[in-house]
Amino acid sequence: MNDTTETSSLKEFSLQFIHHKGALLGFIIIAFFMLVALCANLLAPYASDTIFQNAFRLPPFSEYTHNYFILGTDDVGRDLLSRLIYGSRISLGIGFFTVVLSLSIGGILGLAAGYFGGSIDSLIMRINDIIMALPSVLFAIVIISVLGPSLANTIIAVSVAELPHFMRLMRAQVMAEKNKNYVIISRTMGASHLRQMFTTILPNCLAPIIVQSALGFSDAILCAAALGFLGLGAEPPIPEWGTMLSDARPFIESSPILVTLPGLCIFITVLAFNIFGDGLRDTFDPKLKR
Amino acid sequence: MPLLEVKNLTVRIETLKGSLSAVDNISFSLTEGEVLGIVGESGCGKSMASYALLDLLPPFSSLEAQQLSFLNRDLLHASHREKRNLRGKDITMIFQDPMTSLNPSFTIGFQLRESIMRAEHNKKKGWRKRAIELLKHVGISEAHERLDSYPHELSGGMCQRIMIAMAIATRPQLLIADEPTTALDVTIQAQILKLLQSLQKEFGMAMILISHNIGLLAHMANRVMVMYAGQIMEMGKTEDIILRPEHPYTQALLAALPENYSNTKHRTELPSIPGLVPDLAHRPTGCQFHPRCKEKFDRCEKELPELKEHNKRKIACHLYDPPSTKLT
Repeated sequence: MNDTTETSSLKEFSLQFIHHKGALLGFIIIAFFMLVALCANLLAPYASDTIFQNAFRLPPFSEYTHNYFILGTDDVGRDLLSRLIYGSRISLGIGFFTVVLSLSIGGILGLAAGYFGGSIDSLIMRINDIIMALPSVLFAIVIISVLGPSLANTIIAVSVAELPHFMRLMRAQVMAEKNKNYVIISRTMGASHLRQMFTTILPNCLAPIIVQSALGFSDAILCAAALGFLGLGAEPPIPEWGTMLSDARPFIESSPILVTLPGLCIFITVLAFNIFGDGLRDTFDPKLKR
Repeated sequence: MPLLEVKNLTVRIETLKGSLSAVDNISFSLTEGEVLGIVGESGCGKSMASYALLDLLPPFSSLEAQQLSFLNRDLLHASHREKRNLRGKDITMIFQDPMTSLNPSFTIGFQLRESIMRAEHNKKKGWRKRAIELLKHVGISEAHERLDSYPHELSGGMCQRIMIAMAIATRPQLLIADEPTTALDVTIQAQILKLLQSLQKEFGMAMILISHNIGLLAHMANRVMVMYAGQIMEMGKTEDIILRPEHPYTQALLAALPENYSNTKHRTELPSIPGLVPDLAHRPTGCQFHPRCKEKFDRCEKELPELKEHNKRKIACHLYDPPSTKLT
């Protein structure tokens, strides 16, 4: 029943978005990586952990015992292309779950802090300050060293390190909205605190949160890659880009392609999410419209 | 039996400058179907007094009163739940700025449904029909389509009509209208006021109409209460107050109306009341209005006038309160 208004505003939004060239480029790259991640088992020529004996560090486009390696093989004889393709699954997965986790927890905490104010606000914001006082990678390292290195723990650690962004943003948004007339009116109608927080205020705070989610995605991928590089992220057989980078480090002179390609993948994904996020912000913010 | 009875209501706001009384010891009552107009300059405690009734006071403020009862129910000692059931159902409110009074994220229909469901015990069926009926009642054409509109697609006047529809959906006993037309342009103002008036007559609900325009109240209200610095200056029947104002402040307010000004031949400058409303942290001694009053005399600076019956009204002014009793 809302079709007419809904589609027209959606259409307007997508039109503006398409005119923002950077954002469109970012979106296309992200869509490409997502597609690769989703269809990894169809696209990858081999499994990520198949070892071809004696096929160590083959250069790109080489053939070895009737197997063809487009990007060559790594130091233990696994196909590099397959590992990169499966790696997109890991990296985007880490990004996705991290954003979901820190968005929901950080969002709710920020909402509560902004809505109730007073001592609840002080308590939540002091926790927030503590997390912010440590560099996010350092903080994630602390958590990993407590929980032990694994993919799930990487996600938890990066989520906690990402929390403050969402908390602060949500709190600021809620504080700006909560004294508006419509909130007071819903109070005169007898709305409970929960209803006010989630039904009345929350939908009006979402625009910047969506932008922050896109930017948080890239932060998370970068942070997880850094942890992987330090040997604190995913365990070796898992084709995580950061871990691949650190595994290939000793061979940076003999076969530089092993270091370059995972690094390039991280670089391109993070860049794509950043320009996508900026584009989203420009289209959401009416003040920046031309 | 009065519908609403307020005795010695004081609203204090805690600030860094100390505790300020935004509403200072006021008493009034309201009978069923009566329209009470509250008038005064900005910052006189008009809105605060009505927020106190709905328990909508801002943080760091507190309320004191001897009596605060609505429909014989004691609001001072009512539980949170009781108060919640009362407000938004038996007492509803419309606000100054209609454009921000509707939630921008939801359609008109969704927001109307909330009020309707509140009135009809969360019954979901038939809300649409009732919503269209309500929209027609407040003079909105093409009500069907409007239900699916978002607030930003509507004009200010339209939004205010929808606010009124939401406010009357529960058939309240008391409607508080806090400067309902201030944000609208003049032609719309008249339409909205006419609408409020006809709805008030139709439902027989009582209404508190807050405004800084004393001329507007003349058409609408049965009784008028003039407030200054959180205190009542003059209160009585509209005819008495508007046609025969006795308090210097009421007289000054009436003189400042552009309508009255246009009758005079010599157009110079619009008459105004010199000075500003006192800072609540630095209240003047004696009568609160004396620094701006044309007719002040010694006693005004020293003694706070009491609200006393005089000539068919209640008035707080030394001019009408001979000090004979105290001269001993």
